[in-house]
Amino acid sequence: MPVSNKPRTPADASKLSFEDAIGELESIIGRVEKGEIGIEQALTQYERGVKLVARCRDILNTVEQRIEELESTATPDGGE
Amino acid sequence: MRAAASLFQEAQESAPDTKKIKSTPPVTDRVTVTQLAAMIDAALKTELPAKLSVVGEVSGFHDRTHWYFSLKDAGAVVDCVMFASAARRTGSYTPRDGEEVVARGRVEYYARQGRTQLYVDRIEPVGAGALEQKLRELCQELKGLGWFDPEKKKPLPRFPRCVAVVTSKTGAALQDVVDTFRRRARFVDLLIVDVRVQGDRAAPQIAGAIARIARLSREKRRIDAIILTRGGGSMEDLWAFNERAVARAIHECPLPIVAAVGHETDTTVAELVADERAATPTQAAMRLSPDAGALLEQTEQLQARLTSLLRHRALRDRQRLRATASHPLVADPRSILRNTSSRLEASHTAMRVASRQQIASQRLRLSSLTTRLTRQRPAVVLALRKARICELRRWLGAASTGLIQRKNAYVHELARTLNATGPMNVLRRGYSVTIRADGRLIRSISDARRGDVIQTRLADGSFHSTVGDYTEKGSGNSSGESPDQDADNPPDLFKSE
Repeated sequence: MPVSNKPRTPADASKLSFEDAIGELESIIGRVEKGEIGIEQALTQYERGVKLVARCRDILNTVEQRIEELESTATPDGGE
Repeated sequence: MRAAASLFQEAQESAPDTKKIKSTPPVTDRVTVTQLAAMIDAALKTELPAKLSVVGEVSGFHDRTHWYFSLKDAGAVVDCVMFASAARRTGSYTPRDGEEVVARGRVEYYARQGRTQLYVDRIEPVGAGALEQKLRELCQELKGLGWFDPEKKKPLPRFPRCVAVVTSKTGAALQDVVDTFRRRARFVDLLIVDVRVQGDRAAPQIAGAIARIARLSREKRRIDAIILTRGGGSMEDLWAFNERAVARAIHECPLPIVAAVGHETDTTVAELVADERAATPTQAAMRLSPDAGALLEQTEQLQARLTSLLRHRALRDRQRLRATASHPLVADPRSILRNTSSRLEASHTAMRVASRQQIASQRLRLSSLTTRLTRQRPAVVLALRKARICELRRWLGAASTGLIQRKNAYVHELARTLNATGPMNVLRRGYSVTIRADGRLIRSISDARRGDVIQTRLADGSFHSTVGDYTEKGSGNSSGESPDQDADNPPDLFKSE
């Protein structure tokens, strides 16, 4: 996911869309793995990464749940 | 139009030729009767014009195919004969006893019967000439006006519904017309307009009738055509149909007119101006009466065709309907529902699967990222860093030690090499090095003076000595001595060979 390497004011992780969150996550991990960031920053970035993971998980869970709800109302066995 | 036509064809007769009698035989000579007849005939031929016109009263008229009659006046009579061929040419005209006529012909002596006869080729009543002249003039005038033009002739209607008949109600012509229509086309309405057809009052009546009919057609009921007709008669009888008033009425009439006047051989101005001329009243009626029988047959044919076409059409339509009705969609409309239903199910399932798959794949992605992130957690990172530092330090140490060792070894090596090539070996071989007190190497006899303190270095030590006398090389010493063998004159090692 092409993300600019310029440091930006990071948006609130809990408000990001799934794609934005996971994109940023990939970018962070990439940089840390390559060792492109200093060790001090590595900690901050790690923290950020954890938050992003949480956000993604939340979204996935919510979507899955919603689908289940819809299906249960739509299918004949669910009664419509 | 016998009379009028003949007027147009009028050729000038050749002038009577007058031949003088050549000779007169003496009275006392005897001639035969035949000869006498010949003489009379010859005399007639020479004395009389070849053709002449005689005016006289007809009497004793017999029609025995050829016409036999006499022409007489107060003082004389002459026998006439008119052969059938000539008689026919007079058209409807037949001379009547007591009639004043003009007969044109040639005079011949009929020897067999001892008669002088007038062989007539043309005969007409006196005064007919005047009529003919009038007729001729009128024809020329109307022709000039274009009233006879074929382009002006209107076409007759094919299926007239109403035909006006202008004729005498007492005449045979009307009966012929009515009979013809009754026979052929009962459905045609006939409007019979009774008029005088000869005499002074005829022409205005005929003209008036035609005009009235035109107006009636315009205002009240539509009239499709007019038949103007009368039976045969003499030129005077038919004269009304040569009048200008009638011709004008016909010319101005907007309806088509069929004229049948007199016998077949009669032609009047009315017939020339009319849109069509029929030879007889019956012919006129036939021209305007469509053959009902033929029409009926045609109608029946058309009906049969129409029925057949409709039947075919109905059959085709029925087949189409059957084809449509047997179409699966029409026969079983539920199949649409079933199709759609199963498509919907398939889509639904696909959607479910797809959404589940997507979530699963995203989870997988997230999971792999999480793993990678975890690998980058600070503790791990720190540990790694530390390890790295240690390693580096070790390396540094090892590297340094190693380096020093290597350097040392190198130096040793160098020293050895140096030693090997150094002056010590040379010294060991017996050479010595002499240096001054200031440490400077003595190489030349000029480098030291008598009394200087010098040091001689040998392999294993050195001597200190004081310079005594010196000897310069080359002076008093024999040349050719090999420096190597001479201990007193050590070879100049430093001298280049």
